This record gives sequence, structure tokens and C-alpha cells, in this order.
Amino acid sequence: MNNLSTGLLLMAAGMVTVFVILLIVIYFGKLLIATVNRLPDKDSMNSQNSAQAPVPAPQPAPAEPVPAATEAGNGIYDLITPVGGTFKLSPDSEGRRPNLPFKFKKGDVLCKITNAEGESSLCASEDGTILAVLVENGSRVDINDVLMNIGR
Amino acid sequence: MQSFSEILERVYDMTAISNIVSEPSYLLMYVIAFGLLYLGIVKKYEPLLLIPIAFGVLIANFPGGDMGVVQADSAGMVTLADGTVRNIWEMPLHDISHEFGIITYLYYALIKSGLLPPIIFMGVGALTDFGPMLRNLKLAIFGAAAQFGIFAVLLAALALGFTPQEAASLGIIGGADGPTAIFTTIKLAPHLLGPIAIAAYSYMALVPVIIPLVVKCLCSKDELLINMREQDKLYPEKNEVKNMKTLKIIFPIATTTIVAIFVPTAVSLVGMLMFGNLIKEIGPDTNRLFQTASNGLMNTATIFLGLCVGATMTAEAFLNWTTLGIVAGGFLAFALSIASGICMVKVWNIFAKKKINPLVGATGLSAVPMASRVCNGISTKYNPKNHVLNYCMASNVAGVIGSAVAAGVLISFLG
Repeated sequence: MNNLSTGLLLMAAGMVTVFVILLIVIYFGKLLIATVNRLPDKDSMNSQNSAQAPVPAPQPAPAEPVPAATEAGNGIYDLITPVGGTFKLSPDSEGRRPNLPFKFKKGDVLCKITNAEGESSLCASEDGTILAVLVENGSRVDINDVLMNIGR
Repeated sequence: MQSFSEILERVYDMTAISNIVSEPSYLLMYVIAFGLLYLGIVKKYEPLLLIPIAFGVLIANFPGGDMGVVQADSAGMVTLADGTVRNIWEMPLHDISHEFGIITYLYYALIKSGLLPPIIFMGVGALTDFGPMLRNLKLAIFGAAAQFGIFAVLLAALALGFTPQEAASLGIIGGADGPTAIFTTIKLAPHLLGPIAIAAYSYMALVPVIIPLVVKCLCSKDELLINMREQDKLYPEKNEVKNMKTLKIIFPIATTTIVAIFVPTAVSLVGMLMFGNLIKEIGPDTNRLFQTASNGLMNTATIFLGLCVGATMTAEAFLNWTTLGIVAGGFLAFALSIASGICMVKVWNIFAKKKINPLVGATGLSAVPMASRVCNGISTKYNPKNHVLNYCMASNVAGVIGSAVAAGVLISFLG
């Protein structure tokens, strides 16, 4: 019986501590984000990622990312990566660029992103044409980077 | 003729066969070792860990081979070959090596001293990306909810008659974090190290089976279809991260400081985790340290840890009812942790306008990054466009911090 009350005490103390610590981490993190946001924004512009992965000037109105594509009007839209990692072109596993414009069918794998969590394939949700590939094969991409321009 | 049969007898005594015949329980251990090797090599369940552990089990169970770990009793006393009893903590390391073999030496020098788990944590930190968590800080709270399984199983184990230290080591399997489980067990119940490490790692390998099972029992299709990206669009985050690189560098330093102040016993784990992460995030300046921490040092530590943990599973230490309890309790701890994460999301969804996919709660159980990948698989099965990976990684990484803190609490109360 004595053991059980020890257990209950441990349970209460343990869960409270874990929650409190993570709450502190969360609120402190928010504070940190607010503070860092006020700092001059030079690092993020020259950060490794953007240096290695030349992302073009933002397309006209890069709207909110739908799972991996944004519409920019006139039937051309951007393929946006939902995860960060190493970019790998897929139509050709050797990494050769497809002859543009490259027609693909719904369900084709357009490219793959490899990161510590494994490999994610970006599949086409409808038929279309790759008009331009904006990222070098094998370079690092960050979440929400524009990878390709796609035409309907 | 006489001498010939004598020689034969000597040869027979030299081999392990005589001992195996007199104690057939060794055969069972070989079967277990071969089974684990099969799981690692053919089924590819966490091969990097399971194969060293399985081979450690194998070499530990050849009597006369001196490759099994000799455990001291709670007072630190061990019986030497000549029958004298000595305190192992007063024996110099070369004496341990001479008396009990090289694996026992490695065990006391590297594991019992608590050296390897923090080094592995440093490697884990160097491979962890806190970016997704910083983008979705709120989701980190589910990393705390999913530690409930640890304490629930602790309570159940106490009721079944385990000592508090054993119960805590059993519960920590529910943290789904190998190094944390090993670290806690070394401090609290070293005699259970083998079975607990095996249970922790094999259930982590079974995450792709356990999570869908629990999710299927608890979640409706509508909940699994919740699209976090669309929710983000409806209710945008107030403070967008603008300068991620700076933030990622400050975050490990700040978190270590906070955790160290509140739970000093968790620092050896959280501190090393954050150190590994820091040298990764600084970039080119510390790249050489990062390379070593995430590759060379981590792999070295894994080899020694795996072999030594396997070698603790000698026939006399492993074949008893406690092991069975650990296997059952470990599963319960895993399932309860996942379930409590999911339930917390459900409660959250009742009150909040911005709905959260319950899969994010399920990944509060550490097991980075397998849990997130599995959950992403579940969500994309219902809707191929619904990628929850980044949101899952947020609670997933927070779960690592959560279980390390839980371990710190257990160690400081019971150690």
C-alpha cells in the first residue's frame, strides 16, 4: 500500500513536472521568437540553405501552399515542398533534368525529398507539364521552397 | 588407452558442450539470440541496434567464454571464481577485466558509469531538427501528454509487486526512447537492463504496428482527415518565425538552462542532446565536431552499448518471470502513451477553434522520426494531400525532451 502511494505521488509529480517544463519551453520559445524577430534579419538571408538552393524571386503572389502547389493564375502554378531536405529529381533517378517541357500523368512522382526522417515523394495530383525546375538536383531545400513551375 | 580417453574427456570439458548439457537453459538463450538476429537482419527492425544486442546475447551465453556481464548485487558485492566476495566498486578495472572478462570490464567502465547514454544522446541531438517544433510551438505540449504511459505502467507494476525502482525502469519503456530507458535503468535497476533495453528497442521497431493499432481504436475518420495546413490558413500563427537560423542556435542554449534549473538530474540527457544540436546548428564553424558527434562517436558508442546490453542477458539473469512482465508492461506503456497523447488532442479539439489532427498527439511518444513517418503514412492514406509530417515532428521532438525530463524526475525521486 505504501508503494502504491509512492507511485501515485510519482505520477502526479512526474506529469506535473513534464507539463510545466514543456509549457515553460513553449512560452520561453515564443518569447525567444519574438525577440529574435526583432533582430536585424541578416542571417536568414545569407543562411546556408538559401545560398545552396537558389530560390528565384518570389513568383507573383506566392499564395498559401496547398499540399504541394500554389496557383499563380493563368494555369501555371508552383510546386512547393511540404518538407525540408535534399532535393532529388525523379523522372530520371540519375538526376538528369527532364527535357522541358516534360509532360506527366496524375500520380507520377515528380521529385523526392530526402531528410533525416527518410524519403518523401511528391506525387502529381493531376496531369500537367513541368515548365521549369528551379532547384539544383541534390541541393538542400527548406520547407515551402518553390521547386518547379508546372503548367496545366 | 587410458590416457586417450582422458584426453578426450579433457577436450570435452574444454568445449562448452559439457556445460550446455548440464544446463539446457543456454539453448533457449541461443534461440532468443538467433530470433533477434533474424528480426534485425531479415525483418530490418532497427538493425543498427538489434544486431549488436542480439550478438551480445549470443556470445554472453557460452559458459567458460567469460563474455557475459557479471552483475553485482545491490550492495555492489560479487563472488569471484575462488569463492571470495568483493565489493566491485573497490576493484580496479584491470581486476574486473581479469576476473570476469572483457565485456564485464566494458560494462562497468562505459555503461554502469553512465558514460554511453549521454554520448548517444549527443548524437541524437546532432541528428534532430528543432525547426518543425519551433514553427509549431503549441504542439510541443502533446509531447508531455504522451508521457502518461510511463507513470501509469509504473503504478500498475507497483501493484503487481515490483519494487519502485524496477517499476520506474519498466515504465520508462513508455518514453519510447532507447538511451533514456537505458540511462534510467542503469541508475535504478541495473539487473533488468537487458530485458528493458530489448523491450524498448523492439517496441520502437514495432511502432509502425502499434501506432496504427491504437489510432484505429481511438480515432474516427473525420478526425484523421483534419488538414493542419488548412487550419493554419484559417487561423494563422501570430508570431511567424522570421530568423530561423539565429533562433535554432539560441534555442538549445536556452532550453538547457531552463531544464537544468528545474530538473538537474535530467541535464546529463537534455544537456548532451542540446549540445549535439547546438554544434549542428552553428554550421560550418563547428562542422568537424558535428561530424564526429553524429557519425564516429555515435557509432562507436552504439557498438559498445549494443554488445554490452546484449551481454547482460545471461541465462540466469534473463529466464525468469520478471522478463515476461517487462515484455507485457512495455507494450502497455507504449500503447498508453500513444493513447493519452491522442486523448489530449481530443480534449483540446473540444475547446479550441483551431482543430488538431489526433495523429499529432500520437507522435508525442518520442521514437523520432519513425512515429512521425508512420503518422504521415496514416494521414496520407485517408487524403493523399494531407501531409502532417511537420506537425508530427513538433510533438515528436518535444516527446524526447518530455521523456528525458520524466527520467530525470524518476531518478531524482528513486535513485
